[in-house]
Amino acid sequence: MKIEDIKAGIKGETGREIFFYETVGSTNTIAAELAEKGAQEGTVIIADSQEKGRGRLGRHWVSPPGVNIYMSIILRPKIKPKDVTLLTIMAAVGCTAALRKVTGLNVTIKWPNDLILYDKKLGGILAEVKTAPKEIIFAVTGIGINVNMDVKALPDDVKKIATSVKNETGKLYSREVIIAEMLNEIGHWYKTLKEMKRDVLLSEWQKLTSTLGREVQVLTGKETFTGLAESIDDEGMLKLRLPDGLLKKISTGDITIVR
Amino acid sequence: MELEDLKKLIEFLKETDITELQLEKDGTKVKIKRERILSSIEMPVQKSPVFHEKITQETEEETQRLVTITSPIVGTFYRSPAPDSAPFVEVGLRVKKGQVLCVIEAMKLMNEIESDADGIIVKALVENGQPVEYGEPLFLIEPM
Repeated sequence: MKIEDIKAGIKGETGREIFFYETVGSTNTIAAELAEKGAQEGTVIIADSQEKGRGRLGRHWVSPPGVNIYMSIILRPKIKPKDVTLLTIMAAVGCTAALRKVTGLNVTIKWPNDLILYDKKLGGILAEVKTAPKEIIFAVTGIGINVNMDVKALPDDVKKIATSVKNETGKLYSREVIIAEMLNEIGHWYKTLKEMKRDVLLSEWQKLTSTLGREVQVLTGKETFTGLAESIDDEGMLKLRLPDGLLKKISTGDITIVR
Repeated sequence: MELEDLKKLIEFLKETDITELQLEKDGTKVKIKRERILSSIEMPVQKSPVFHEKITQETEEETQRLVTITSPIVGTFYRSPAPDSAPFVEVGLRVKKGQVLCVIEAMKLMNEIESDADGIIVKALVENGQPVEYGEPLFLIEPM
């Protein structure tokens, strides 16, 4: 990975400062430590591999060296804690727009922010936020994108659900070019968020999602719901139309597209 | 537990809506089960509300002294950073302002919620994995 190549492609403030590591536990952990020490907004942490890459609920994120993108961005949005979920919408829009631009592939978003290519997971975003009762202290947006990973070599349970850009196109892509484009797009959409142009952000997400209008199964902590993914609300939460006609708001959960 | 204590306890329970109680003290286990008699004569209709009122008053006074930590967002409440790790805090623990008390997940954002008071956790109000609403009380802290 050549950091100077990334820097050469960056147009805005996001990624002006980049910390690169060959191997880390998790880029989110490093980013949170740096944020605690006062690292400024837009600071980016990139690793070539992660030993403890993680997803929701402490799940493992496959992070081999030399092939993928593992990156965390430190943000300090001055928005109400209630609106913090817009960060998820923003990051999903930024990453998807960048991947479409660089690869030309029809990457879509599965609610709230899984990056999907041909019904398989191309990338994931996990944000960790430090919240005081009335303000957001900092947010760390962790992004993992499968770029040149050989999916065939993965364990069976991962192979079934994951893909990479190379896996679908047969071509190798420059991680540096994708990272620079993601930082540019995220910078752009983060500005939209900070200006609280909520409708612009939410409508862009709706253009890029493949979840709305589909019948989905939602696995929340203890319950499972099946219904029509009808729309998202002002915070980006999913509004699910249940078979009995009631509308259920979903804040957390794993989504499976039924049809 | 002395027989006298037990009698007092049973008398006390008669004035409440409690139908079943299990108590363990100094190695002695006591289980009291009451059938609710639904006849109008037996029901202490007058007594019950008075009793409840008293309890409510005390609770309010208690709550005023305590700091309530509420949820700043809608989401799912977790007491630990990952399912297999220890809770951030326990009842009885002394916490500092700025210390993380719990995580609330919303749309793959893990929000670490900080305490805004120095004090002792006197009550955890939400079960692990439960959905929480905006402004819902999560913890009671006795300021120190």
